[in-house]
Amino acid sequence: MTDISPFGIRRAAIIRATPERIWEEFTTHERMSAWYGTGHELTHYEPRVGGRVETTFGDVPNVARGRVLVYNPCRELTFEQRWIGPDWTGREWAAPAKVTILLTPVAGGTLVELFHHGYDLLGGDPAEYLSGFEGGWDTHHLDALAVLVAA
Amino acid sequence: MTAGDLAAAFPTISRPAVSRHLRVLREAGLVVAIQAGREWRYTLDPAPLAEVTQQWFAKFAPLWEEALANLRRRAEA
Repeated sequence: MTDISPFGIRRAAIIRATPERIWEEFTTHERMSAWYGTGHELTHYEPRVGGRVETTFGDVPNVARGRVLVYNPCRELTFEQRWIGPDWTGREWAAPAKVTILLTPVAGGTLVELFHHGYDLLGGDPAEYLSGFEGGWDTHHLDALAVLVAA
Repeated sequence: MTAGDLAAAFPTISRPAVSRHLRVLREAGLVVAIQAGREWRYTLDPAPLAEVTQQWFAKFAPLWEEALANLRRRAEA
């Protein structure tokens, strides 16, 4: 199993289906992009270790690309996501970020965990990436806690 | 900072060029000009840049909650 870097975000849901059923959604480009291609487009997806994964957005092609690192049916999918060219700060990434999806059978269904992680290896300030990818709003509580603890 | 201060910080750029740059930055909302006596003072406003950054993040990664909701809809159907 992939080591989940603490510099990342996690989203989770319990889905009322078996891991086998859920994994079917990861088995082709068409099925994967039907759920994962939100906010951006999943332009390429090869469901095998070493397969290429590519997402794009915007009028000017903004591309993130990587390889599948783990393809462990019904359990784990991990692929790299490396920004191509300088990001919005003008920085070229030293290493790719990673997307890890874990499936764990639980009573009544499957725990689906989605991690976007490895911000400590990109080369910039991990805190900046963390707050950015969290979307800002749901870190407000932690920001408030940090202020209280520092007081 | 005044236009003079800024021009002094960029000795290889001509004074008129500095003024033109400032005008473009003001029009883009990245620099705010406040009149102080006979001079204009310029300050940086990073808010529009933060907006660009936020858009970048939102598009670069999928909307995670939405992606999970999509997966749920398909798998539970």
